[in-house]
Amino acid sequence: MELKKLRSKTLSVEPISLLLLFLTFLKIGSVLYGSGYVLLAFLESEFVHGFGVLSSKQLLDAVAVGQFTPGPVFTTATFIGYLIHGFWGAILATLGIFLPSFLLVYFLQPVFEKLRSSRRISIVLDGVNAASLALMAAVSVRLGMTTLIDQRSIVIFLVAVILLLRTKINSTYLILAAALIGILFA
Amino acid sequence: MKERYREILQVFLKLGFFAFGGPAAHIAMMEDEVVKKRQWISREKFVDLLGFTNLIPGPNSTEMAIHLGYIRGGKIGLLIAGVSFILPAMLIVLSLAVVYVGYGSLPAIAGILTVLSPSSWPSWYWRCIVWTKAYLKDGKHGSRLSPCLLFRFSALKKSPCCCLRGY
Repeated sequence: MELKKLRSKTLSVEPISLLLLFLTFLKIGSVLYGSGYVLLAFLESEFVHGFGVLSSKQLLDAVAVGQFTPGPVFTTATFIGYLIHGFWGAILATLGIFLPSFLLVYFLQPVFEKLRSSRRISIVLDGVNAASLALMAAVSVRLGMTTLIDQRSIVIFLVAVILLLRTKINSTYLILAAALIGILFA
Repeated sequence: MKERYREILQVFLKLGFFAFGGPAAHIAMMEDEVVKKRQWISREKFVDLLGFTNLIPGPNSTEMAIHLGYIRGGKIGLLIAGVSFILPAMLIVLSLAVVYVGYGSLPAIAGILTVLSPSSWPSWYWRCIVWTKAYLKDGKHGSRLSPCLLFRFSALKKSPCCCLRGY
């Protein structure tokens, strides 16, 4: 009952077909550069303002789910796909958003290797590498400023920094340990 | 080759289940696994791949996984890496979606999951330092753009590399 109610609310404007859902995510997967924030903007213009099949709150929840679950943030697509079209919506949305990544890597990897062997272009790629590191550093700082807001997270952060600098601990275990602490002191 | 496929599956399935904290953290964890622990590729090559994923559209950490799988195990390696990295997350998100549609809100476990993030950030800060060092040390080419300088630029959003924003 609940389910039906929510679905009908979601689809109050005009349902979009499975194919259109797939194609929309395929488009997003092929053109999107960037983070969850950019993804949010994209999804908003497509599904909230464009098709009108999602409310802003649903969209924010979907992006939050993509972010706090392990693995890629783009699994937001799975969530939205399910909201709009149930199980098959989820499958097709996920396929659509990730398919371009597989194809891009597969087809462009040889090109990239070729570019690397050219001395002149190699210098350009070095610049790209430096910029990539800078972008990640910038994001770390920005996220740090929003995440490290209370004593607990600051303590977890500092302990983790020390462990990473002083020991050879595997970061996966570190994250799991922090998760345990989070659960214990929640 | 079979041995390699199994190894790829093992690495990325583990990351798929435990890689919390966004792309930067995923990439840090991948470096742990494939550069430090298993030595599939050198750190310089790893940074190279990172640059490449920034040049093409799409989610960077997933593309790193796919790329690493490709380098290690060819076409099949590519598929194994990508699918095993995405699938666990997809199943978790799918089950949350089912609950969400059923109850109209996110379950309580969502609160617990959000606590996970702080721990992954230092890992990333550290990795940035190490990579930048590795990157600057290898002095094959003359002039270099200072990552710090670019960082400033990108903070101002005036950098030409803004279009490459990977995160």
